[in-house]
Amino acid sequence: MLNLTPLILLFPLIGFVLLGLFGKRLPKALISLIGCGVVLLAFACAVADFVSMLGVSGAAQSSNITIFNWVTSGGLTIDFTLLSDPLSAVMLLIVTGVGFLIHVYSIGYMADDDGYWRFFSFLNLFIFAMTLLVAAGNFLFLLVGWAGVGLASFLLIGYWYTRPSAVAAARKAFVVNVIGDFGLMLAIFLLFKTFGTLNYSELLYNSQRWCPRGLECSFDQAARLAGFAGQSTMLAIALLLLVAAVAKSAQLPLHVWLPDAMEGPTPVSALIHAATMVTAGVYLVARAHSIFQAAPASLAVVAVIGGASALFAATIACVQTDIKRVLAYSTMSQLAYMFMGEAAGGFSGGIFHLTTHAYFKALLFMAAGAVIHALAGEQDMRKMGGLRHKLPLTFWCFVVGGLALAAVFPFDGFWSKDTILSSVLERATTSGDFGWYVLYAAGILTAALTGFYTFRLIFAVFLGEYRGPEIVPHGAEHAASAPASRPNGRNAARRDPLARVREVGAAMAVPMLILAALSIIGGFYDTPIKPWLNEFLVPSTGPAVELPNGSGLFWFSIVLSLAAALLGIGIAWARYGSRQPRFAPSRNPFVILLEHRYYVDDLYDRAIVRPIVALGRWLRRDVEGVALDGGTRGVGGLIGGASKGLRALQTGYVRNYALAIFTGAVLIVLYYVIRP
Amino acid sequence: MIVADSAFTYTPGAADWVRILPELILLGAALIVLLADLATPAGRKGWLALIGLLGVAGSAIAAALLFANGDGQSAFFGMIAADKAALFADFVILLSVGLGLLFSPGYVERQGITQLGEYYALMLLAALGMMFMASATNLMIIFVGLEVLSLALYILSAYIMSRSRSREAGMKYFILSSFASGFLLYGMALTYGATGQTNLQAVRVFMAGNAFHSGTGFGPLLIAGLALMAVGFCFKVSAVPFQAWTPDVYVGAPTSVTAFMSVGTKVAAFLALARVFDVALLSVHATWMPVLWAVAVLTMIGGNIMAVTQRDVKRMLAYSSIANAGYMLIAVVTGTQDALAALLIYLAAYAAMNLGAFGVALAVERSDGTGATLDDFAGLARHRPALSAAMSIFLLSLAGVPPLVGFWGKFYVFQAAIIGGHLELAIIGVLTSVIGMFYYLRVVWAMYFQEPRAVGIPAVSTLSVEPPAPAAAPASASGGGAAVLVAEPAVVAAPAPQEAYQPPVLAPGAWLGLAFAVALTVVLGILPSGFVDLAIQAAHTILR
Amino acid sequence: MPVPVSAYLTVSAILFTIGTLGVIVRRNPLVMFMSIELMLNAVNLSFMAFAHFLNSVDGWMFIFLVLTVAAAEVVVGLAIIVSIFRSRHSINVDELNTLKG
Repeated sequence: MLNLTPLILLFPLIGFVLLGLFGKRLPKALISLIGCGVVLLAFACAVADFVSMLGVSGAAQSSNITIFNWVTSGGLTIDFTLLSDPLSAVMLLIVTGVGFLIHVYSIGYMADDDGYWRFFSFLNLFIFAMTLLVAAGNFLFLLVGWAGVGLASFLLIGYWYTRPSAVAAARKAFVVNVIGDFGLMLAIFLLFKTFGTLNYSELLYNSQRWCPRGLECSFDQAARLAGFAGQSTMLAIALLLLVAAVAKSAQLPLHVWLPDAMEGPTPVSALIHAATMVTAGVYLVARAHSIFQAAPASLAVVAVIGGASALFAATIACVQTDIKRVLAYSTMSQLAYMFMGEAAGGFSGGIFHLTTHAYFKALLFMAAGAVIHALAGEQDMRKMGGLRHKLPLTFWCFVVGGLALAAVFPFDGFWSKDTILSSVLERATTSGDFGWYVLYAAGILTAALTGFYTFRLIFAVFLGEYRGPEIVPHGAEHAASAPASRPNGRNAARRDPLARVREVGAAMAVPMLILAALSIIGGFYDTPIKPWLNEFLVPSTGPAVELPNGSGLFWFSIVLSLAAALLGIGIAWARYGSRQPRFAPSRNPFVILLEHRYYVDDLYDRAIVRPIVALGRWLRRDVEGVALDGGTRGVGGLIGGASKGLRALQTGYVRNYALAIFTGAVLIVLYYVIRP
Repeated sequence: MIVADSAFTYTPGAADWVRILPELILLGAALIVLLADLATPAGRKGWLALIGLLGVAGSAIAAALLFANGDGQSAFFGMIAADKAALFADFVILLSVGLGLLFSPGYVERQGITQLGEYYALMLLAALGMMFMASATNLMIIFVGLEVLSLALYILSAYIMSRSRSREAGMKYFILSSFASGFLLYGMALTYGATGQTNLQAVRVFMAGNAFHSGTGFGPLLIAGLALMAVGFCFKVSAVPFQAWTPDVYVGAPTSVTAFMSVGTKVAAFLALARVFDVALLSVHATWMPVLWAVAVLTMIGGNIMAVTQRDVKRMLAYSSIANAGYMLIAVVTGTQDALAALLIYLAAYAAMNLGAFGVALAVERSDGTGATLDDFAGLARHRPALSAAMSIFLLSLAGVPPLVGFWGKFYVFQAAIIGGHLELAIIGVLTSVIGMFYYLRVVWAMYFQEPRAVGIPAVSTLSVEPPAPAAAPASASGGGAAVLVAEPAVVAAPAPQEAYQPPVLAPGAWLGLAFAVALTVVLGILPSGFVDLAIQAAHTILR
Repeated sequence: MPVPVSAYLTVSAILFTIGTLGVIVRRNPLVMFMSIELMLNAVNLSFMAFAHFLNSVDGWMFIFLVLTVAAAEVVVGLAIIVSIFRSRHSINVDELNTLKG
């Protein structure tokens, strides 16, 4: 079997190094060529790997490539190993394929940006880190990729660093991601202490190593791990991994960074904050499914987080007016679906939804980017409307993506969402546990909400009449931050404010069309008639739950979820399909609650950030107040406060220092005197 | 008890001198530098650095040969070890003094240092003291090595006589360090009284062979002795609460000296600490462990927290060196062979990245010793891309980001702690490293994502080698544009400090040093196996 | 009457403590420096006592090393003190606090 995984990693790395070192001096055409070319090459390798993997079956599909022996010392052997198996092959296809399309799209989108080379080098860095994340053959290199994508995301969210909001968003994302990295790091230390290895092939897949000698050994890897290490250890490891997954995939309660991350350029939102990086948490749970299954309580936690996040995000998306933020909350909600499916044991179903979501959400972000681009940086749907005739291509792409997102037959989202909902329903009927029914209900309700917010967005942007000021095109959205550049509406002719709005160019249109096609047909590789992807992934994610295909329950689930989606779309039509939708401030307390995003951000601000800042102030009350740099708040505030307090001890007087030494010595001697 | 007279039948032979060959070569180089200083005209003192570097290289070669082929025996009746641990430490010390010498030409002239011959000789002599201290297997040699390095560093800290900050640094270092040496010496005296030995191996044998080593059974003499020695060593490695001198001295001393001493002193003191506590006093591990445990925790927390609000990058690095001492103390507290290997790995990693970071700070600094604050680093990437990239690598490595060398230091230390039964120290270590990320990355952020702050800080604009590009103004958005506009009148109004300021053009040696440090940080990070193996071999010899 | 070792050690501890307190309470670096010397010589007293009672020569060797080091410290210390005095005509260590925080 072919195994080109090292090349898949190497090409983007070359691109990053080339562009990072010499990009400043290269012409734009060459930058585009390098930036996109390396990802295309990586994609070609991923396709070749994938095709050759189709030719073999069973255990032959998984192979480890050891690039080099990284460390062999100190009771530790870590190889730089890449694992090529069905799961990583699918993930690599998505990352490089969708990644390539978004690179091409960026050529058009970022054409007027000064930091063109910087942008592409960061994108290539991201692709490299992401491919490392999904191709790594052990947890340590997963961590390297995990930290790498976090760094790339941080750099790209703060790409327009002259905007204070972008800087704040990048910081927020960084803080939350560090929490996740911390969880992953501790999980890795615990895994190593317990098992003495970090390799997937030993930890996650059938290995005789964890059979206690003399005891009958279960065939099930999860049971082996639990038998070897004990339930409580496995639960601790699984929950620590979950902290990492939740932080990366923006689930409750660590979701706050994702909506703010929309401050980055739109291709970044499409690539990192919709299609690839945020799905790393879903990937991690699917990859480490044996660990989660070894501690079933952790899967219940996954279910609760998934259900709650799905509803939470979908309801908020219904009242957002920034089109990118609608999509951001939608992403959070769809990721929650994937976690729901995984919680029910359908790990391949979660990955299936991951792939379809990558197509349609990338498409939606691209289409949203096209709108933003055409309207010279406007992102508020209240100032849009009637764009259907000006941007026909974008409109139809948006509709296709919207139908897929709302899971309407036969778009790809339909198949994947249906797989997830049926597995939850199957779990509910077989276990009879009330909780699973609640989760299923949450899934159906979210489906209806999804239909509503998606088409609310489409109707408000494309139907009706235009509600905004005249558009003077001047490049991408970053220029819009300078309000002075806006023309005075009174002087400009009021004939047609959209006269100078143009449809997107080929560089942006072609990727959108390809993704639109994928959003239509992308679901057919895993249908109830032929669950091909499901079977393909079995070597990686284990046998999935038996779906009730063809039964009455099956039809019930399909009809119910379709009806919910159509109901949502219908309500959206009733409220926003008319010529002049109303966006007046509502007095409905529930809407107000939603508009404040359930006050979670405020809660964090009041319950954590402000007390800490107050504590910090109290700690440093005797010291000249020095503002923390750029307002790093929260934990930074506490630490900053403590820092000021401790620094006050650093008086600069020699005799105080001598006294500190003397005190330390006395304390140590005292310890020995009073020691029992 | 060994009777005194029987000890003096020992005659030193040629083998003894060979075993301290690296030290001898360095001493020779220092003396040659002093002599050559007389023959070198004022403008060409850079040659002295070259002589010093040759000495360092020769010493390193000797250490390498001994590492590969030496018999690992100790010299002069168990006074000085030539084991692999000592030679590994010698390497790290030689690396730090070598980089310190590379950074010096150009910088020292800019800072107005005149007595260059003595300057270079003292650098070499300080390194000599460090090497003796790191190799010492006798309390006497530990003390002598410590004092040799300290005396040289007192002078070097105060070397810029015309600058009050430098004099103040020297004074503080001198008084506090001699004060702490007093404690260390008293501890040694009491240990000697309790065991009758000054040789560490003999102390170990005495402890192991004594019936009452139940931990509490030892007399109060020994307990007082180890407590006071702990104070002395903790001062030298700048552990909290004995750290107070560190930031003041690091900021006040010439940065080339700071870069060198921040690493070299730590290597020497940690090796001595490990030999005393993890070798000689290992059988009373339970007795001293709680004290060093508490110091390690305080150091990790205190060092990291105090670094957070520092705006002066040199001062931030000083607190960072305190925090790093905390991580290294984890290894000493754990005390297993793995832990000592981890300590050596950490020291080597720390040497590369910390010297590099100080090297960049030194390149940005102005001739009055100021100008290494966050404001001066703001927007540095525009004018000095290579310098900023190097600084980013060093800081990311210090923050423990894989796959840079700093990550491996932390990884092995935490791993050794977990396996050695100190999970709590590893957790505290990981948590405090997260705090560390904030202040390290803030500098990276400033370099890449902040507009140069033009008002009142002429350093950045004049710092550029190339003339300030007019194209930069429209490129930056409104914020930057405003800053540029505000800057104009300020420049016109106060031209004096601008004219006085010489834009630092990095000397070739400094570039070479930085490139070397970058290469070590990256290459050892990506391919750590080789040097990790060396460290493990070295750790084997220390616990023999 | 033979003097027991504990008597030497007690005197040594008292001298060491006096020296320590001297460093902490005095402002004049010369006096602080003398206090440090007092600490070192208190330690020397201990070494001497131990060497005598243990019949071991190590303690005597240590004393010589300490004395040598103390002499070197005098040289370096006085040089720094003098240079500070020359620039500010005062050697009060409490005025040396530009470096802090």
